[in-house]
Amino acid sequence: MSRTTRISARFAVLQDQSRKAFVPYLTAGDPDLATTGALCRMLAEEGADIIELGVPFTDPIADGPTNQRAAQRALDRGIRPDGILELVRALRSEGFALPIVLFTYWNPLRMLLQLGGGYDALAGIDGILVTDLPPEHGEEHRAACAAANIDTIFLAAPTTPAERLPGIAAATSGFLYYVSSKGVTGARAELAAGLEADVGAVKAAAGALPVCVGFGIGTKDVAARVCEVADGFVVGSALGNVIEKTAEVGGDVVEAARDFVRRLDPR
Amino acid sequence: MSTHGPFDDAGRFGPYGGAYVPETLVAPLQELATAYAAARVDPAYTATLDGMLASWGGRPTPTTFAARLTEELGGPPIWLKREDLNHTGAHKLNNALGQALLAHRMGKRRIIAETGAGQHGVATATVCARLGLDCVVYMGEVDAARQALNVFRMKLLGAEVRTVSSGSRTLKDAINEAMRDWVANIDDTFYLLGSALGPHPYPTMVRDFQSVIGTEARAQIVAGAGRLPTTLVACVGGGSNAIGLFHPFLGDDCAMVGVEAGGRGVATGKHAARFEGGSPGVLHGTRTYLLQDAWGQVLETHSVSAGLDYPAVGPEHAMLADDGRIRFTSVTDDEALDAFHRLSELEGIIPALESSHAVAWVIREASSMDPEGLILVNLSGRGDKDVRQVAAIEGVEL
Repeated sequence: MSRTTRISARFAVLQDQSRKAFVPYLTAGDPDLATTGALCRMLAEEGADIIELGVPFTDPIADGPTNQRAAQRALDRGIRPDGILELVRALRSEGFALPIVLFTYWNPLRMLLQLGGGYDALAGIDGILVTDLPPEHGEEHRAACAAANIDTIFLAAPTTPAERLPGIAAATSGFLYYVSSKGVTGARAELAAGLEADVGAVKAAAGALPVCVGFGIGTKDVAARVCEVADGFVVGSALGNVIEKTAEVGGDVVEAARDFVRRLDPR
Repeated sequence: MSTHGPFDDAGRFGPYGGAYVPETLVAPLQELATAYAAARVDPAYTATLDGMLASWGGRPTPTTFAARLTEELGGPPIWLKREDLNHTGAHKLNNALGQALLAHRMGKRRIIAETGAGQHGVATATVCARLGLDCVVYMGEVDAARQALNVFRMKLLGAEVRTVSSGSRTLKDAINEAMRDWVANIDDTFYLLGSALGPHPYPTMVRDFQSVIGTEARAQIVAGAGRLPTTLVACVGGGSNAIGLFHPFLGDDCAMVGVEAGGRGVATGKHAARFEGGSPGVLHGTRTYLLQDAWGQVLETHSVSAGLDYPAVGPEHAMLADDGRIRFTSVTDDEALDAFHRLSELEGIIPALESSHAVAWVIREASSMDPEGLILVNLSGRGDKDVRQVAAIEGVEL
C-alpha cells in the first residue's frame, strides 16, 4: 500500500533502527481527560511509539475487569467520544507527534460517525481498531477509513484458523494486532505456550505488515519475549492497574505510570 | 462436510443479525454453526432430542381454551399454549436440551449460560444434570436477588451460579460475563445461550429449537378449535418464546403481536420497550433494535419481570417488525401484575410475570377485537418463581 500514515511512517523509522514498537493503551477519560492528555505526553517522553486510546463502552465483552472498571469510571464522569476527539485535536495543536489509534467497540464508533460528521471528522486519529468488528463486517468501514487516510487495525487470535489470516491481513493497514491468549484483556504473569510459533504464522501471512502483540502483557519479561518474535508489544491493563491504584489514593498518576513504564520497557 | 460460518447469509435477517464478535470467537462460532447444521439433519440427533423432550421433558404441552377469561373479556375466544407445563416450568428447556445435546455431540463437557429470570439457568442446569455435563450459570446480582428461588434450584441441580456485579447487574451483564468466560475457555466450553439473540448461529438455532411450540400449537388449535388463530400473542424479551410460536405461522394469514415490557411506562424511560424506545445498533454480537443513548451507550432497562429486562431483542424480530409482519407493543408492570392475578383467578393458571405481559395485552385489547377471531397466547412459563416477588410488591408477608 503506497499511502503513508503516521503509523506506517513510525514503523518505517523503527525498522530502520531495528527497534520494536511500544504501544501503550489508555482508557480515555480515566481518571479524567486532562490526565489522559498528560499520560500521552509522558508516554511520548518515555519512548512510546503509538498510543491506543480506548473509547469507554457500557458493554465491553472483550475486556477484563481492569478495563471494564476504567470504562465505567469514565462513563460515570460523562466522558463521550466527542470529548476524546477534542483531546486529540488539542494534543495535535500543541505538536503531539505520536500516532494515535482509537480502540473501540462498533456501537459507540458507529454512533460517533453518525453524530460527528463521519470519518473525515476524525482528524488527528491515525488508526482505528474495532474489537467486535471482524473484517467480514468491516468492508464499508475499511473503505471509508482508507478514503480518510486512517489505518484499519484488525486482529488475529490464537483461535484464528490459518485460512482466515490472508483475509485479515488484506483488510489491515498500519499494523496487525495479535491477541496473545484466549481470553479478555488483562495482565497475566505468563504468556501462552506456543506464542512464538503462532506469531510466526501471523507474520508470514502479514507479509510486510508489522505485527504487534497485545492482551496480557504486564511484565518486562513477557514484553521481552514478545519483542523477540513480534514488531511491537501493547500494554493495557497493567498500566491501567497502576493508574487505578494511584488515582484511588490521590497519588500522582502520571509519575506513577512513568515509573511503571520505565520498569516495564525491555528495549 | 460443508462448513457454515458466522457470516453466512443464514445469519442475516435483512439488515439485522450477523456476528459482531471479537476475533477469538469467530472460529468457535464457525465450529458451532457447522456442528449444528450437521446435527439438525442427523436422524439420530433429532430422534434423541424428540425422545427426551417427550419422555423426560413432558412434550407435547397442551393448548387450552381459556373459557372464563374469554367470557369475562367478551371478545374472541382465547387459547393458551401451555409452555408452563414444560419440564422446569417454561419454554426454555426446548432450547437448553437441543443445545446441550449438541454440546455433547461436539465433545464439550463444560456448559456456561446466562440467565435473567433464572428459567434458562434452571433449564440449563437441569439438562446438564441429566447429561452429566459441568454447568456454570451467570446471573446479574439484581436478578439473583429477585429470583432467589431459582438460584437455589440451580444449585440443587448441581450448577455453579456466578453472580455478576458489573454494569446494570441484570441479564445484559450476565451475557457479557458469559461471553468473556467463553473467550477464555473456548477449548472445552460450550456457551448455551438462552434466547434468539447473540451472534449467528444462535438466533437461528434457538428459533429452530423453540419452533416446536408453534408447530405443536398449530396442529392442536386446528384440532381443538377447527381453525387457525387470527392473532398470535407472545411476550418478547430476547424473543425466543415469541419466535418459537410465530415462526411456524409465518405463512398463515394471522396477526402477530409481540408484547414488550413497558415497565413504569415508556414515557418514564424505565422500561424495556426496544421498538418504541430504541433504534438499530449492535449489542452482544448482533445488529438489532437497541435501547441506547445518542452516543451508542447501552441504556439500563426496567421491568418487574427479569426475563424481559434486556436492552436488545432478537434480530429476526427486528426484521419482522420492519416488515410489518409482527406488531410490537408494550404493557406496563401494573398491567402485567393485574394479568398475573386475573389469569390465576379465572383459569387456575399462575402465569410467569413474563407471560403475564402477553396476557395483559389480551386483557386490554380483546373486547375491541372481532369476536369471530381467535387469539392464541403463548403462556411461556408458570409463575411459581414469581410468587415471592409479587407478595413483596403487594406488601404480603409470607
